[in-house]
Amino acid sequence: MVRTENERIQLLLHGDRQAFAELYEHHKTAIYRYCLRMLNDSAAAEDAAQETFIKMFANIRHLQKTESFLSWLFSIARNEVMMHLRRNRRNGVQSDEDVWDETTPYDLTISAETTEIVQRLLQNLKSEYREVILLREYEQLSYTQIAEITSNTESSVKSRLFKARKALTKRLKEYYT
Amino acid sequence: MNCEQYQEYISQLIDGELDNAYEASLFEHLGSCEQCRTFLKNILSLKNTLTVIRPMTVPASLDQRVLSQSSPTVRQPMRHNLFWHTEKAQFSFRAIGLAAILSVLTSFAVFSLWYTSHQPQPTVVCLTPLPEVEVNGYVIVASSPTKGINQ
Repeated sequence: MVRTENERIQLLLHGDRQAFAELYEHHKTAIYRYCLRMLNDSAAAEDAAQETFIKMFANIRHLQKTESFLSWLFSIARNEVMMHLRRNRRNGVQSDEDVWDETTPYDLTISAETTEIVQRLLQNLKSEYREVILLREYEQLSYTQIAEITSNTESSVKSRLFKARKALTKRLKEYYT
Repeated sequence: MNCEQYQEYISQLIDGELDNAYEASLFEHLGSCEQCRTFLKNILSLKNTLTVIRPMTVPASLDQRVLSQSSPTVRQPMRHNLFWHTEKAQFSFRAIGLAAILSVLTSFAVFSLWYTSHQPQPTVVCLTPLPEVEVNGYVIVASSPTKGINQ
């Protein structure tokens, strides 16, 4: 019998392990992919994803609306990712206007496949720009959901997406023309 | 409105999130602006590239770690490789804290004793001889007027 997500959540509220396993199975790829693309470290991504699902189980009763489950789950994953990033943050002052992280990836554009370049450029975006791209392009989330997950306004999400895309396309211009 | 603003609209357009009110003016602008048409073409290509690299396989070890736990409410973080997360470090921090508290208390006690012992004692010297007092037929005479309060 295939249960709906709402039914799984209701069962999980009563501690049903089968419902937990089904929710995990349904969302594990998206959560792991988000953690991996944000952290660029498979071990750290596994840790963050594991903690996300454990916290999902432990805190499911704090979920306000079942229809917000996906945003809520990504918020947990985001908190885990941010904790890892803070722990590993390098020292150095960066301009708020700058979209790129410390490493300038210009040299990457020499002799590499476009997909590989895009992946590496993504890794070099600042986390606040990388996360909106990942949540939009990979997870197909709406601006409203991204705003909920990142605790930002929709206007800020729009602006970050635009800046990130503009920065990426600028670097990739020679491959697209 | 400038190209920068239109390009932000293009970004929203490809996500299907552009407000209908702006669509007409955007398409009109696209008809006449080569730069914005190129931007549209490039971000569509970027979107396609990102879609291609989207799939990913979750490692079996994650399944095992999440699903094999007897109770998911028991948190068992796997990576505590930082020194201050180790039990040894936690014990050391507690010991250092306790030693610091004891040092402060001991210092305070020693200082209090020293301060008390170095305070000048109030000395009142009687400048006039104390009067003789008669009690039940006995006359009491103060033998020495060195210390005491002359009332």
